[in-house]
Amino acid sequence: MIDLSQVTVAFGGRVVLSDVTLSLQPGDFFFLTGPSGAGKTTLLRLCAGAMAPAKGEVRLFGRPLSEMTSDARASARRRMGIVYQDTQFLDHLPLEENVLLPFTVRGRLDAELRAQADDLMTWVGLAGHRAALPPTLSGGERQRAALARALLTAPELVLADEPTGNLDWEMSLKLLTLLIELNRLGTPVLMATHDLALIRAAKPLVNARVLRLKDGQLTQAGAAL
Amino acid sequence: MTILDFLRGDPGAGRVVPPAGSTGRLVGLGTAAMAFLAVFAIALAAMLFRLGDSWRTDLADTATVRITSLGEARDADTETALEVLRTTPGIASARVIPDLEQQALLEPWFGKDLPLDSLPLPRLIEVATEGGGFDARALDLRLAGEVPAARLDDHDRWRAPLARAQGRMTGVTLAALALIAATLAAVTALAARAALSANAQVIDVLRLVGARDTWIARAFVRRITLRAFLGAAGGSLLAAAILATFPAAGTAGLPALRPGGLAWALLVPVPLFAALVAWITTRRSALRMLKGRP
Repeated sequence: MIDLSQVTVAFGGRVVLSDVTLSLQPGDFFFLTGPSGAGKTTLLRLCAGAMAPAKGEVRLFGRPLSEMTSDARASARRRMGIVYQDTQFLDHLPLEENVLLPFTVRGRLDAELRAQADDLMTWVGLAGHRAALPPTLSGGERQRAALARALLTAPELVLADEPTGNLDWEMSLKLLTLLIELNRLGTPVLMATHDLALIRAAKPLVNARVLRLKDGQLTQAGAAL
Repeated sequence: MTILDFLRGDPGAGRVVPPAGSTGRLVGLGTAAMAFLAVFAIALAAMLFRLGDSWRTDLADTATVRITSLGEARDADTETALEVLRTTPGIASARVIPDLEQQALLEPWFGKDLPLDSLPLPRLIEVATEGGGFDARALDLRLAGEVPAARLDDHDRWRAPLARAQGRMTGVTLAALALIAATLAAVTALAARAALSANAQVIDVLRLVGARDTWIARAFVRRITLRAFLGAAGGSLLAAAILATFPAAGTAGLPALRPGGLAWALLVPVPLFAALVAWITTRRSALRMLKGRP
C-alpha cells in the first residue's frame, strides 16, 4: 500500500532520513519509535504524500508519488486516516465540523455521517464539546478529536503521529485497542510513539513490529513484540 | 460548473475559509475604485462617440459654396450659383448666409466690432443635402463653368481628420479601460495570494483530510469574486449617482457627459466584468500558488 525505497530527506543540509526503506502492507502494525527530532513526523508525512524525498522513491497505493498530480495525492489521502501532532484543525469551526471535514471536502455530508461522527465523538469522550472551538480544548481533547476524524472515513490505512501523547493511560489504551481492532480487519497501522509502556501493552493483543529511527537510519527492532 | 452553481456556492467550501478580514476589504475597496473610474471612462467614451457622430452627421449633410468675387459681380455670381444649386439633384436647399450671421461666426476670432463691409470676405452659401447627397465632382465642374468665382466645399477634408481624432480618443478611452481592468486583475491576484498565504494552516488541514486543490482554490476564489462584485457594484452605483447629478444637456458644443436613456445600460456590465476578471485572476493565482506548495 505504501512503499518507501531508499528514501533520503534533508532540511537545510541536515539529513533527517537516510536511505530509508519501508513497506506498509495490509495487516501490518508498526510502532515507530525514536528520540525527538529523529524524523518520525517526516517519515509519516512522506507516507501521507505530504512531502517529496530528496532521493529515493515513495509509492502510494502502487503509484510513484513523483508521478502523481495534486488531485491524485488528494485521492490517496482520502484512503488514509491521518493523525498529526499539530495543525490539524480549522480554529474558526466547531469541533464537530472539524471532525466532519473529510466529508465536507468530498461534498457529501448526510444525516447518517453526522450520526456516525456523533457516535465517534461520544466514544472518545467529546460528546459535550461538539460546538467547542479547537483552541478552547486541551491537547488530549484535540488528539481524541483528530483520531475520531481519522477513523470516521473508515480508512484503508492509518498513519498516526503520537496519537496518545497527551492522553491519560486509560484513554491511550482505549485508542490502542481501537487501532488494533481496525488492524485485525486488515487495516495497516503505522503509529509513531515514544511511549514504551503502550508498546508493551500492545504485545499480547497484536502482532506488531517496532521500527526505530535514529540518526536518520531506520532499523527494525525487528522482532515482533 | 454553472454560474448558478458558483453563485449558490458550496456551503462546505464557504465555511472552511475564515472571515476575509483586511484582504476582503482590500478587494472591495480596490474594485470599488476601479469600477468608479471605469464608469466615468465609459461615460466619457459614450460622450466622445456622440460628439464624433454629431460632427460627422453635421458635416456630411451640409456643404458650403464660397463666392469670392467682389462688388456688383458678387450679387450676380451669388444668384447664378443659387440657380445652379437649386437645379442640382441631391440638394434640399441653399441659402445665403446673412452678414449678421457671418459676423456671429467670425466673432469668436475677430471680436464684436468686425467691419464686414471693409473686409474682402467671401459670401457664403449654405447647402443642405437630401437623400444620398449630390455629386460633388459634377457640381464643382458645373460651378467652375458657370460661376468661376464660386468654390464648393463639401467638408470632406474636415471629416477625415475628425474621424481620426475620434478614433484616437476612443483608443485612449479603451486603453484607460484596459489599464483599469489590468489594475483590477493585479489587485485581486495579490489579494488571492495574501489570502492563501495568511491561511497556510487552513490549506494544510484541508489537504490532510483529502481536499483537492481545485476545491481549496474554489473556496477562496468564490469569496474574493463576490467581494469584487460587491465592491464594483458599490463603485459603479456611486459613479452613476454622481453622473446623474450632471446636466442632461451639453454645453459649449459638447454633448452631455451624463448618459441618456439606454446608455445607462452600458454601466450594468461593469460589476459583472469586475467579477469575471477577479474570478479568472484569483483562480489562476490560487491554483498556481497551491501547485507551488508541497
